Amino acid sequence: MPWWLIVLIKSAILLFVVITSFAYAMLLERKILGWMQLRPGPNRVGPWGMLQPAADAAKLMLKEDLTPETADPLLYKLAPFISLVTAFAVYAVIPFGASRSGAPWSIGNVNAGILLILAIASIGIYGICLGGWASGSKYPLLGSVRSTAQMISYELAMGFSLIGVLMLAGTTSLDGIVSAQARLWFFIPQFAGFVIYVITAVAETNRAPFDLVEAETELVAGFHTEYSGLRFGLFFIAEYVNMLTVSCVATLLFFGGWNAPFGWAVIPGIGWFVIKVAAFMFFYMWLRATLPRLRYDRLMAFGWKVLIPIAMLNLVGTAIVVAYRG
Amino acid sequence: MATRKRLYNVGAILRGLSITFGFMFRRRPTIQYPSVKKQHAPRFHGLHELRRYADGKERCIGCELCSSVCPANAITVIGAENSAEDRRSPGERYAARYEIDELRCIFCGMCEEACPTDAIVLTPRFEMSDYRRGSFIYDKDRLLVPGEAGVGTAPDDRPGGIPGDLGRVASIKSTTDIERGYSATWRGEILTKQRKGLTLVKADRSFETRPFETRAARAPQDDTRAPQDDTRAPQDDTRVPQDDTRAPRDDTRAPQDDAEHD
Repeated sequence: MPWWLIVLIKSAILLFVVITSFAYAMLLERKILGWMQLRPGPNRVGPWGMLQPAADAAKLMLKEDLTPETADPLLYKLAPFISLVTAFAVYAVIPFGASRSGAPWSIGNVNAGILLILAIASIGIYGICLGGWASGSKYPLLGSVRSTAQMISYELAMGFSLIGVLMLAGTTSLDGIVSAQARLWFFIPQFAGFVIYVITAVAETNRAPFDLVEAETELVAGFHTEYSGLRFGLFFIAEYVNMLTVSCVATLLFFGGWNAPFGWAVIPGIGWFVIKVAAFMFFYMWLRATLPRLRYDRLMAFGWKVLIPIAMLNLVGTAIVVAYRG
Repeated sequence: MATRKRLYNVGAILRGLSITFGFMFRRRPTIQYPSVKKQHAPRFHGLHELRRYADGKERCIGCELCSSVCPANAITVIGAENSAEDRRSPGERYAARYEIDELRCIFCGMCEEACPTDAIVLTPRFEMSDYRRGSFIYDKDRLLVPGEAGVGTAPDDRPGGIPGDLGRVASIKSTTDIERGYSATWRGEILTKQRKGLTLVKADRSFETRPFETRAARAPQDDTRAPQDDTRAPQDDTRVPQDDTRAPRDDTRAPQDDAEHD
């Protein structure tokens, strides 16, 4: 088979898997939020509400696609696609497992995988910024201004928190980082980095308690106030796919990727990978059910005055240890 | 420092997380309403019903007391004279038109109290939703108990006492607990599990139209049902029709649940 056909088939499979997991992550989130609030969650469509995502998709597709008069039509229509495309593009380099010979299961095996993920993820923010600005309306504008500030502040801390892992592994390739964790997962030596990464990842994906970008109590719906129908759906998909992405990165960088814990190889590597990602996804939903939204100035203070200094200290400490060991 | 303490209180965050995690495994109080229904209070006021005597005659004599007492002006009654050929009610008059606007009605039950013949009663039915406002004006066709469905339930046959909480009707063990008077409003089986005095009924979609069996109907003096016993029926009820001479098939069974009132 020609190489492009293989890539195409792999991409199609991956797209299907990611979209399905988005759909059921959304259902699971509503279920879990329901349980934590003593409600049953969606249970009317299909057994146990299993067909709810299909019903939601059908609803969103049938809704009218409105463009406000004051909007910039081109950017307004482009913004959801920027969010969506960048959210999916990241999966080109994420490995989900490895064959016996050690070749990673990914579409493209890039030796600077983590850098590529960070680069693409930071482009994804343009979707939110442009979408809010191009709506020509005050609440979306405020939402997108907030998102810009929040992204800049938290991306710094996120970058710092990851450098420690890269120094320990001595590589930026994702499968290299995973194989460097064969004996010890990096969340133990890099605990500070891990905590900072998890916090900044919540902020990067605009999830509660850092969802100031769409704070419905103040900003109606923030950047996507004016969006309706399928375009809103695209932002929605992008948010959940981004959640999946940061969970995958946390698994790969801090929790040993597809390495089995304590040598429990009963479940194949890809199974462990899925379990770990699902655990992170659950953690996000759990956080959303628990913590109230931060006030904006405290969000900023927390990012700049707490996370970045700790991340930098962690970085220096790791550098000293790595240099000392040779 | 005060703000710092509040902002970075990790212990509080962990405590919060443990609380929400614990709640995931608590029992949820939700009742899956359309398929599972809650027992209503014994004296619940719902949709109206116009009752009949056991001989099939309407109890309503068109006196319009209900309509005058109604605080919401929801009831319209237009009476007419009975004639010998077309006798609708035992008295002189009957209700030619009887309409209740259920959207105006406040379900206070004063019509029921005012009625001299116990013709209008409030049933526990509450599922009346519809798509058109016009369909909430219930006319006689819809209010009157269908002849084949019996006579309707006398208000006094409901058990006394008002429970403090709709959900805790501990005195009623099951919806088919006929001894207590007011019988089930919906057809269905009782769920075996009962939560703290809250009876749950697994309902199917259909509404119970079977006549409510009442305490009076089960009482020993119920043998008024005995066929062709023309003489004994009226003696213990002054309100019974006096023109029994015409005696269509089973006029004599007339006031079976009135017996109790005297």
